[in-house]
Amino acid sequence: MSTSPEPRLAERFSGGLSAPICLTWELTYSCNLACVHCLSSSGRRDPRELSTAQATALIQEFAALGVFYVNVGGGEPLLRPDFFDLLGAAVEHQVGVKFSTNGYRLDAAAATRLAGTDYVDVQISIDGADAATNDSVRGPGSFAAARAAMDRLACAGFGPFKISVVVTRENADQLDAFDSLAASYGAQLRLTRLRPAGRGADSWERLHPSAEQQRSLYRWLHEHPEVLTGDSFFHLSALGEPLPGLNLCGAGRVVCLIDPVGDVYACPFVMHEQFLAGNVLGAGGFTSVWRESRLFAELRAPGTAGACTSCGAYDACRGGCLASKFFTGLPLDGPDPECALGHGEVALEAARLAATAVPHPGDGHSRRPRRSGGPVPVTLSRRP
Amino acid sequence: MACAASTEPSGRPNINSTAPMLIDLTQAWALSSGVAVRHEAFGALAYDYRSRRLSCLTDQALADLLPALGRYPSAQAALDATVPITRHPSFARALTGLAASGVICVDEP
Repeated sequence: MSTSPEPRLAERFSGGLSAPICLTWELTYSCNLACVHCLSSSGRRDPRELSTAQATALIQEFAALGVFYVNVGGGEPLLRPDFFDLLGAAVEHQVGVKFSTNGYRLDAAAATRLAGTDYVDVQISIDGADAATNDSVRGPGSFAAARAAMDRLACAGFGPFKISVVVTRENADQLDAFDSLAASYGAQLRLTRLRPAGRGADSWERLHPSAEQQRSLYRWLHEHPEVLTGDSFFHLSALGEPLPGLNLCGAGRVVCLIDPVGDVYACPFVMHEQFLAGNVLGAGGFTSVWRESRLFAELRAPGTAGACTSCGAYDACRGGCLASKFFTGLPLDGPDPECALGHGEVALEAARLAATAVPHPGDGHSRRPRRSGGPVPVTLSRRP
Repeated sequence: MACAASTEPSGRPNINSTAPMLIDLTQAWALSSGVAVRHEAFGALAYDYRSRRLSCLTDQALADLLPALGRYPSAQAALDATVPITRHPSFARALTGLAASGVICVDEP
């Protein structure tokens, strides 16, 4: 009998749970930013996005399933006009909400409202400890906007909000600066892994941390156990002492993603038809997708270590992240492209040599580039 | 956005495992307010909304006991009524661990 994680717990979880532990719900594809690593390629709202009534019914379903909390993202969740209505419905049903925002819409009134709400966590996203580093990924002015939102939360007495950072090649050497920034607000720092998903498919090669940066990150995380990671870096556990957490790919087992139109994917990083399990508006709703979809049954079945079979670190890293492998064209039963022991680089090179087709997430809901900034030419003529 | 099971531990549990002092079983204990329990095939998950901590209960009898704990005049009475006597020592240790992590607390009348 135990009340804390034990070695076999990952085995118990890998067979699936009655409901997700960690459910991500993207509320809208609408976003005022166009971050180069956006997992959901957000920008334009989708006209099929769940209505307030549909979203509220989904919250009731979460409550009935005993979902403890949902991670709400987007797009920018605050761009949904009914955001606070949905937040209220979640709180009323005792479904906790952790939501991520870029901060632009988090004005003083919103900060005060959030400070007065139980069961809500706020994560402000930045991807650099200074404006130059951040804005190169998230767009001009986005660092200042995020800092202003942090100031407003602090001013409203929200308490320990979270500062959420995707670790990249450009910011991996700024971890101490992020830590200081969080400390200055009494906030919690949260670091997550860059995935080659969404628009990240096109920026991953340039932005993913170097092997040396990964080793430094691993050591830094051990020195800073208070820093949250959402088990993001379990592939680094191959380097030695495992990082805290389940060290397991949770896709379809303990985690899943619901997108703004109600499509259910195995995890937030694999928005691709191959990992689409169903839609919450179908018969049986989300519950039936979670419990009965064929895709999730396959993901919960015991897997094989494939090319990792002979690696002594397999029990520690479990072959790493499914999504990272998928979107870099690697076999799903082989090493992670960022395998801490270097097997990923070999596999990537082999895939390049064999000209393996790499699945592309597509442009999703990215804003279309304007064709021309100039005037539209028209021909004026007299009516004959 | 989180991956895998984002249990987000907010620190290491405050349990001295080498010399466990057991909780007072003669007192009334109950599931803490702000803690939700969900049954699973392996036992249950308990989530503490205040600390954002997730605990795993890998025993079905313990999972059944927790929500009912507050109905008994003492933890000992709850054990007497629901758990074979040979398992009382391990249950007492488990309840001590749950008290240390704040999942259960003394039930003030």
